[in-house]
Amino acid sequence: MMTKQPNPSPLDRLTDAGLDPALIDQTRQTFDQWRQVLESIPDDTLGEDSLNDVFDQRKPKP
Amino acid sequence: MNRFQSITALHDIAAQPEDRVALTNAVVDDLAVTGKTLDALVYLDREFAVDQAKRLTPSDHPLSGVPLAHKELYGRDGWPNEGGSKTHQGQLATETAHTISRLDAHGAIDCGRLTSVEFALGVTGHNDYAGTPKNPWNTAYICGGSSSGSAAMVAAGVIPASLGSDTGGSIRLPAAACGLVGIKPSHGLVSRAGIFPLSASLDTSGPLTRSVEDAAIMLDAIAGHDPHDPLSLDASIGDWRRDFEKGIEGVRIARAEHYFLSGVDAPVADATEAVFTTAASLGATIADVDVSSLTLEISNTLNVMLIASEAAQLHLDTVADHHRDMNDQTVMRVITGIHARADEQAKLRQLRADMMVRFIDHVLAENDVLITPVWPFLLPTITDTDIGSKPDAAPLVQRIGHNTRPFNFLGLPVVVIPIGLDSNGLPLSVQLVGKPFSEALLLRVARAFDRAYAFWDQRPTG
Repeated sequence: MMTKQPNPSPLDRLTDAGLDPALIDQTRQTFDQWRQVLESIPDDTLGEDSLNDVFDQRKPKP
Repeated sequence: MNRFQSITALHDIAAQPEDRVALTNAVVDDLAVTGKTLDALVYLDREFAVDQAKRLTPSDHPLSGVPLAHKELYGRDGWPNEGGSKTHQGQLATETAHTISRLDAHGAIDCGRLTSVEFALGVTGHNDYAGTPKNPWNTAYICGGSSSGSAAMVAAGVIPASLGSDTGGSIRLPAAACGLVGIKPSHGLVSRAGIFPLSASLDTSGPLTRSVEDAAIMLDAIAGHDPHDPLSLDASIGDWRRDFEKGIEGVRIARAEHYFLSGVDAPVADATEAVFTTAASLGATIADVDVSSLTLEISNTLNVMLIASEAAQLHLDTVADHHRDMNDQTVMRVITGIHARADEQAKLRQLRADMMVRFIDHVLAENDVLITPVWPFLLPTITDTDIGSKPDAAPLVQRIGHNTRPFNFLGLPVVVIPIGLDSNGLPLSVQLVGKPFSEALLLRVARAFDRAYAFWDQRPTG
């Protein structure tokens, strides 16, 4: 019986495609710096509305 | 010679069928020569444009009969639509962008497509494949990106207007670099359907022009609901002509020292300070606002993160399969986005509404417009910014978008207006930021500066 192969992760996909590991590592370091910024924002500041909801509420009345 | 004409002047020139065809041929000729000289041209279709000019049923709309060309990302069925990338070499659009169809309906003549940075993912304008457009004010300098070809051709006076796209500053940075008016419209105001995508959440479409009136004409023509864009809202800019020449007496203008003025080089800050003096002399009131609690540094970073993560979703396979055909910086920026987790992407999107509401409450509840610089330093040369994927590329990208990216993240409307020339003879500009759907007011304020600075009368000598 054939077993379905799981889709490779984006990282594996790029590694298998021959992307320079040093470049991938450089981008990981950059993203980790950004991640610290995102994680510094408490989750309880997140509202219910999307930006689209908020703009829709503020569009001019015809 | 039809260079440096306004939309309305070209409309008048194009009133008669034979004049309209002659004008179209002349603009196509100029695009072919000047577009090539400045590395700004991707595609010309004389036959299509002349046919459009011949078949046109003229109307009173100012765009009727006016030849234009747009950023390469804007699809027209059957025209090249490569996203500025060798990876999509030979790809043709299979649909016409909603905005292009709207311009068609108003009688504009579409002559061709202009250079974009690869996948619109770059702020300097460099593109090893499609070309790096040269700034008409001095060809050693960048046009900025990613709507670099549009900026070059409008600044050179070949066409009066061109559509660009702005995800982190890609209309405003080239407009500012080339002495143009540029509009990044409110979230949801202008459809992105049929435009080669970079970021589903953040992409916006807007015009680059030489005058505020031309920018208003273009925005008015392309704004409106489109069910094919999931983020499109049923809104318009209203009657922008009503108060357009009213001046800015009584308009409340905000000045933010923190981040926007303290975060840029002295010549840029000094030039911006002079704008507040001019505004006060024209009757506006200037109010200092403290934005130190608004974490604008964070919104710049969050915007870069969201662009990278959504670009990775769209373009991962292309990078994997064709990275050797891509610009180093594009590869680097798309790869950076693969490290984002789904929960992080969701949090990024959710943060936008909350941060926008806080910004409005804090800065624009009692003010009409915030004025800030655009570029954080004097415009650099093509050589100085040719850094590909070197380790200092990411910080440079982030630095250039210091003042533009927060407003992509917040979705607010912004108009860029030129205010003079720097010590190198390159344009200096400011951006006017307003509340959601306040484009008509922003255009009125910009028009007052248009008259005060008369930048329209200045011509690049290259």
